[in-house]
Amino acid sequence: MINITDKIVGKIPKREFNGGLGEGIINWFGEHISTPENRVIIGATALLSQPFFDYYNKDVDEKTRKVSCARTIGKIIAGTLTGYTIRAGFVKLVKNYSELTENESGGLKKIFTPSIANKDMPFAYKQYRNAMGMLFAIAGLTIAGFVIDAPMTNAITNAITKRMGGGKDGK
Amino acid sequence: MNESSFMKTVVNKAYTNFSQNPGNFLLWSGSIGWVASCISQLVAIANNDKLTGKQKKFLIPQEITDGVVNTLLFAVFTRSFTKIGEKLVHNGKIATKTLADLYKTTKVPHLGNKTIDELIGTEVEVDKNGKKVKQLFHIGDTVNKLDPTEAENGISKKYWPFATGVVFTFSTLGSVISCDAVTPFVRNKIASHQQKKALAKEQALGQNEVKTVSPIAPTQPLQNPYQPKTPLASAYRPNGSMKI
Repeated sequence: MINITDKIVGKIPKREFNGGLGEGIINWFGEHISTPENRVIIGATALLSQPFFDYYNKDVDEKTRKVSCARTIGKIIAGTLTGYTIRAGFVKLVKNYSELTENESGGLKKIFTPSIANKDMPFAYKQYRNAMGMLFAIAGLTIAGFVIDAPMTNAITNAITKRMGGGKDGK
Repeated sequence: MNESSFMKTVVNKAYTNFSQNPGNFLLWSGSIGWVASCISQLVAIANNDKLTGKQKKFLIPQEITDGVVNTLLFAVFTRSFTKIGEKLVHNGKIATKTLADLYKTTKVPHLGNKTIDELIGTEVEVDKNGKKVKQLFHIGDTVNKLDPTEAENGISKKYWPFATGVVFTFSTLGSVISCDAVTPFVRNKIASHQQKKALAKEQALGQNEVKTVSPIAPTQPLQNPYQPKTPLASAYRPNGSMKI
């Protein structure tokens, strides 16, 4: 894997961005994208591609194909909604309790503040907050998977399947 | 270790590992997310009484395959794309005009006082766990070792937002390609193969039972379920719809 990436990097010519769209996209990603936004991008693009793979999968019968397509749509919608909400929620929680101030005693407001944090690197600190939020979000995601994600997926799947006529007895 | 010092250890470790390595963080958090999602979805299918047994026979292997394939492909693709992004930016292959200008003027005291621009693409000797090793010049590592005043006022402040942007762009691209194109194609192929196998096995078992109780031809050998002349086999089309 390392050799392949080395070879690819070796073939890419040296490039200098001087403003323009390329630099704009990169800066936007650096500034705005973390795990919650990443989940939304994956979800939105998945909604535009995955259902078609299932709907035109000629290896299974028509009804299974319809259910499979409906379930993929349900899974993407439910997964993206809960995925984004939980990730963003925990990132915000960590942000609220990781104040980076000179004041030594911060109590609860500094519970997630690392003692080794470099105050001169606000960008690195933002990345840390996102990562710490995601650490907590994993527990939240596991619980939400059963409590919200799975029932919501089933409800959306059943509603879409009914409309497509791919359920039990063709309903 | 008391509760408070345990908490400090955890937050300090998280800061060390992820504050300047966002690609790595996106990779493992995404992978764990896929595993958690797969487990809950399996429970959802198993408990969905609106699905027929036959549909579950496709959807359960599809979900397992989806989980395994998704996680593996996500890890491989995202990791590879992240690595490419990291190497491009840390090896100085891509930069903004502002950064390229700073590379020409910023001197690195611990590497013979050469400028970053002079060091790009060369092998340098660095300290790793107390040992001197030779490796390709890495801008990110170098920027972190520069004087704090330099870091605050100059290159570091401009370098890390750009580097993170490059890594996030590449890692998002890798995850989108793996999740939206490669995974659905691969998982459907595997799941439909598993469904056919399960249904064929079921069919063969059904025929076996019929043959055992049949008073007409008790000595006739078991028929191949794929043989086209039998009614069940003609209903089963290995490359198309299953109408059993």
